[in-house]
Amino acid sequence: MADDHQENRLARAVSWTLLAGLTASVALILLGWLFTVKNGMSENPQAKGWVAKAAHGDGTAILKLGLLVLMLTPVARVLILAIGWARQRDWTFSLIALCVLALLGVSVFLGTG
Amino acid sequence: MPPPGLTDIVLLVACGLAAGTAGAVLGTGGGVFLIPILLLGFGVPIHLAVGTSILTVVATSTAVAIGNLDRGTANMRLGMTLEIATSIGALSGGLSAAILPARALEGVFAGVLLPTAFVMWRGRGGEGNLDAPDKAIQQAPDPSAGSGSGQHAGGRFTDRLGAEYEDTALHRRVAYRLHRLWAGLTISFIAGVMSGLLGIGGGVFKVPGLNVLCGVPIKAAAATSTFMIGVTAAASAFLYFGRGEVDPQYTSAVVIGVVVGSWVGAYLNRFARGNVVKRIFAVLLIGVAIEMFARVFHSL
Repeated sequence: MADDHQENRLARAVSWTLLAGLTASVALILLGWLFTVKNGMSENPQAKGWVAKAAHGDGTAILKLGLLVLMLTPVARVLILAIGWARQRDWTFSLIALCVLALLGVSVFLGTG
Repeated sequence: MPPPGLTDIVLLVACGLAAGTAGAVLGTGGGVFLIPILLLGFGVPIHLAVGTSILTVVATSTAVAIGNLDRGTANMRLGMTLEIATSIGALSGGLSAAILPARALEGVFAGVLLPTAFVMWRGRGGEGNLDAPDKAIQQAPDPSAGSGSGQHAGGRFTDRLGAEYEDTALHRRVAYRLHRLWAGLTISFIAGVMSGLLGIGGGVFKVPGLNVLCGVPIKAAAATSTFMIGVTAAASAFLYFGRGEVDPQYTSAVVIGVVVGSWVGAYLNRFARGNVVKRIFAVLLIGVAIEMFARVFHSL
């Protein structure tokens, strides 16, 4: 069973994951706006190759990447919890977190598949 | 949607800022304000407005949850358990939104604004009146009595969904047990459907429900709900993203405004007391709901 120390460490790990995800997302959004101002507005890229467009400095594609990172941040949070509870040998809650992760996986598949 | 001009961008950031601030001060989240602003003010189609709003819900929940986890108020085990029901609800809501005509979605949104305004008027919105007397705390066992409640107690599954947190206002640790898990799962499912369908957080339903029906103290209920909302919103956000209903330029501008607004609102919360502001906004929401109902009836 988990003790308070392990639980606090897990909460801190989740907290850092959220902070890192939010920071990366905001940084990408600001970078996207910088490229948009420099190169002008472009249409919302719908084709599969939009990530490559972001790598080539398309402002709108970078904005889209920033929003994708933002959406993936809660997914990373659930993954960290699943791993953290598994390390505490708290299999019940690790399994619950994996179920939520599977549901998020369904959403990713339906949304991008 | 045509790409927004520079003036539109500045206005979108400002609207996000206003919605994020109002949502944090009133405890309802920004979505209930943001969607009418985008729909009625900018002429953004309802499905794109919902797609934009759901991304702002992910952003604000992430920003606010960072602090709540540090303070230990959010109950991660309870949140993750309820999240199964909420995610299923969010997926159902997100998929249903795709087949609903725009006017029907606007009508449902207007319908949800009315109970939200009622809850706001009563002063128990999303994060509600955190300083009001809390029956759940009065019923909770005193942790110093060694009752062994909280997440670390063995035994039944529901016993492990209780927890403890440090209440700075009461100057003591508060322990609580979860009652009626089925009620928590049911409320969470409904909140998930609302979130996926309308791009709102759903805390306005979940927090009072967890407090009144499940015996979770209001502060823990609000923090746990905020912890959950980001995951719930992500469950439907991928659907909107994949359908092309998240416009990167509109959404990113609003997200930046809402994130900053949620921090400004959290700061203002220290000074903003009393129900006058909440009641003004409750009346405003009723006005918006009437306007949206009128749009729906005009199109019939």
